[in-house]
Amino acid sequence: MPKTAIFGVAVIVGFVIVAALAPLIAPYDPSAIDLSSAFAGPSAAHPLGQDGAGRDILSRLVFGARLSLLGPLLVVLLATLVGVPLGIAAGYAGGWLDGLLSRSFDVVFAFPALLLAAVIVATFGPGFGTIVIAVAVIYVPLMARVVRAGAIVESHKPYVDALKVQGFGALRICAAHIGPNLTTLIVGQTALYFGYALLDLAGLSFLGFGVQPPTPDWGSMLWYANQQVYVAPSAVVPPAAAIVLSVVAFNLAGDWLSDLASRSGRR
Amino acid sequence: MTQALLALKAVSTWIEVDGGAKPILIDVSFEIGRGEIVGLVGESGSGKSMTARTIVRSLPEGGRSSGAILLDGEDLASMSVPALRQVRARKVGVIFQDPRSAVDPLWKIEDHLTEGMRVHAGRSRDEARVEAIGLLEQVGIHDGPRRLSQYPVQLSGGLLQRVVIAGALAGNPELIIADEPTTSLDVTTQAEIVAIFSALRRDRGIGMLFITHDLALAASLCDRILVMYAGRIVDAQSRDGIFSRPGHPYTRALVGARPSAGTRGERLAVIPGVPTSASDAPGGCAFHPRCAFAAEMCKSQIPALMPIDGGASACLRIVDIRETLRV
Repeated sequence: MPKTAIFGVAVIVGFVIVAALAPLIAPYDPSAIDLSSAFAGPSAAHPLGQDGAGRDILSRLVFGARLSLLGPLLVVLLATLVGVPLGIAAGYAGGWLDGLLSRSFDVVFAFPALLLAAVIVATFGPGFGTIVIAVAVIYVPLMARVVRAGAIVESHKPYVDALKVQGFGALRICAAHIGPNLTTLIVGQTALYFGYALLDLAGLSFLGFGVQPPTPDWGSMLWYANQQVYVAPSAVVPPAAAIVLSVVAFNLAGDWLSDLASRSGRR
Repeated sequence: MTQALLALKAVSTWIEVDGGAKPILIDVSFEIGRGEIVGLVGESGSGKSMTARTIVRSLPEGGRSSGAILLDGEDLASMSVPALRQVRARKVGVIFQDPRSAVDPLWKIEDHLTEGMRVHAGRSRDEARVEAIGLLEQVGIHDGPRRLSQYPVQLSGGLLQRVVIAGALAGNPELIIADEPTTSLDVTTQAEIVAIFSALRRDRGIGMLFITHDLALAASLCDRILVMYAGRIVDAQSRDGIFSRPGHPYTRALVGARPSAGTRGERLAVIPGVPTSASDAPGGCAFHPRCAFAAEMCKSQIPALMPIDGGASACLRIVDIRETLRV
């Protein structure tokens, strides 16, 4: 396991622990307003300072990890649950079904991702659920396209012919044989997408489409800090750093898993 | 007359590529009786494997075939897909050349052997397990319980081929199609696998199409041998007939090219030229450019398979050749 992957996995595990144990770790209530110390810089009592409403930034960061990580998790789950079956179906069946599905994916790719998400948010109204679905719509075809490529390779292997002449149907061959043989590929993709989805969700939150105040979330924290960047410049750093660090961590872990997948594919 | 287990009637196969059709098999007809082992021999590209794939309708992309493929009187070629799946699951077992690539690498031996029993026959996991151990016993694997929990990578090629054979037996088939089942194995293992096939025919009365490029191997196992050249069956002889009175000049040349312990130190006979596939075959008899007996008519007329002396040969000059050589 390369050092970069160890770093990535360690950071991810760290963030997950922080998110899970947020009430124990956070020194203050993340929504407690204290207007007398608005924009206060870092101090012994508030190591990362306080925001424009006097809320403790460290506590908001710790609690913000929950939705900031839950969002991409849901996106990746949706992308996997919908994209993997579609990708396998397209790759295994080929022909008109592949044409139909692949062209549908192309239609989604044709839109700039954030614009597409903005349209969905504009239609259904801002909120955590809406941006998760909006981003998932972008990631489903991404996942499906990668899985389709893997499924094409896999379904041309001789053992698939052998299964067919044993009388097994397409559904069984895909679900019990091709899917499991693509596991490494799929896991590698999920880790990569997790990082990107986190960034996309933070971006949508930053634009005010996502989590609504006072619920903490890194993207909306960054937006809020950005509003007052001339008054309290240091407040921008913690949420930005958390986003960058987690995206880098997921990319490093994802790269490593994808490497494993391509290596096992060559064997 | 009893019905043949498998009968191919005027089967032709071709691959559709870019609007054209590339012929693979041309007018192939033969029968396999119950409990009969028929060998199909030929060089690479002659269409042996495609014959197997045509029978089980597992052609590569663009593959089409015509003619009738009767298994127990039912035509596989025109059968609906659900009915075909039933036949594949219960009546026909197929064994491929490379056992390593013929099994899902992620599945344990137990899962590989019992998948069909559970899915097709509705057996419980425990019943299927007992049955699988019995099948392994039949192919000479006596530590079944241990093997069942292993993965394909943990087994040697010979052992894995036995597992594949056991898997082909799982549906209790009447016909086994073995496509070069021993080619990727060493000679000792090869002998053991051939012994297993002989035992299966004896004990279960299974009919078999045994595809190989090894004439001597085919003669040691099969009752009858079909020789294929450029997508056609050019010779059909009994096991003994193939050596004592080979009909077609091609078979004659193949027999002559065998190494033998009696001719130590001499150069082996070779057939001049290179083998051809059905799509590149010249006009007339496809073998004529390489044939020692070729005459002018061989370049224009396509010979049909004609019965002669208990066998059948597709050669225009077969009568002349027999009389000249007095065999």
